Amino acid sequence: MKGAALGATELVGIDLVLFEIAGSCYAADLTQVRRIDVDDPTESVGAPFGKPVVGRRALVFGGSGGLDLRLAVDKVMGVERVPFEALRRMPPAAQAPKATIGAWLRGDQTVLLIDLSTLNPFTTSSLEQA
Amino acid sequence: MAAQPDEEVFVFRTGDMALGVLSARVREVTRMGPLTPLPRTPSFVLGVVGHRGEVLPLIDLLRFFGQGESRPTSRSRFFIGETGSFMAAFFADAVVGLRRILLSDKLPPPLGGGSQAEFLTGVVQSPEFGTLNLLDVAKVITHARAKAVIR
Repeated sequence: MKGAALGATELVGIDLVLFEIAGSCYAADLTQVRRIDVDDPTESVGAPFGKPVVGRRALVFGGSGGLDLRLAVDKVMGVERVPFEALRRMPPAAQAPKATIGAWLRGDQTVLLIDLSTLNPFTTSSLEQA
Repeated sequence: MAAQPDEEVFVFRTGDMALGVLSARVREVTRMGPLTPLPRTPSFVLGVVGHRGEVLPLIDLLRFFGQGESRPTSRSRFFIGETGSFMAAFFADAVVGLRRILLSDKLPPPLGGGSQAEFLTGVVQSPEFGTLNLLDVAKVITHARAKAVIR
């Protein structure tokens, strides 16, 4: 019984990787991140959220065809279990880029949620044109 | 003598402009909380703010009208405008308060007033404000949403 109750608790939250790029804080679903690596500028998906300024880290995630793609970041702050009720959709009038799928209300701070799977080199190009 | 028809407006200043919004369109006025910038959005969207469990875009009307840009400080305020089920936060340099204006004093937006006139329901000349621009908040929010759909 206790195990079943714990299982139900696990369903009400999501593990998010918290990271920073160019002074702004973002989060992504932990299950999308294969590993955290040193940044390799020659293999980054670009700088859809601004260019990193101090760090030399990259989130490595799966692109189409199973290829490893990298998003260069300044720093990775860690992983947090976040209850679903703390997540919100982006308001339409905010005109957020496609990769920004929502927001996490972290106290009085709003953290943008990024869908890494939409960040392939093709969608990055269209973001940069926007 | 019958009372002249009037309406209640919420008045605020941003840059050199005095703006009024129908009070029925204003849900709340509050202090600036932490602002989260949004990458690659139009310049008039300063970012998003979390407020009472909602995430709201924060719109800078100076940039929206091409009149310069606001500079949020800890003393800045924003008000939450709504139309139907859609809401947005609007930056205000200073909040003046509620005023009643006579409908007979309301003039049409000036012709040749640039893009600004398109989003006004009218103007009122008053000793207190000079020109008080009456903002059509619903139209601003609808315009911002329409641009989002196009993107």
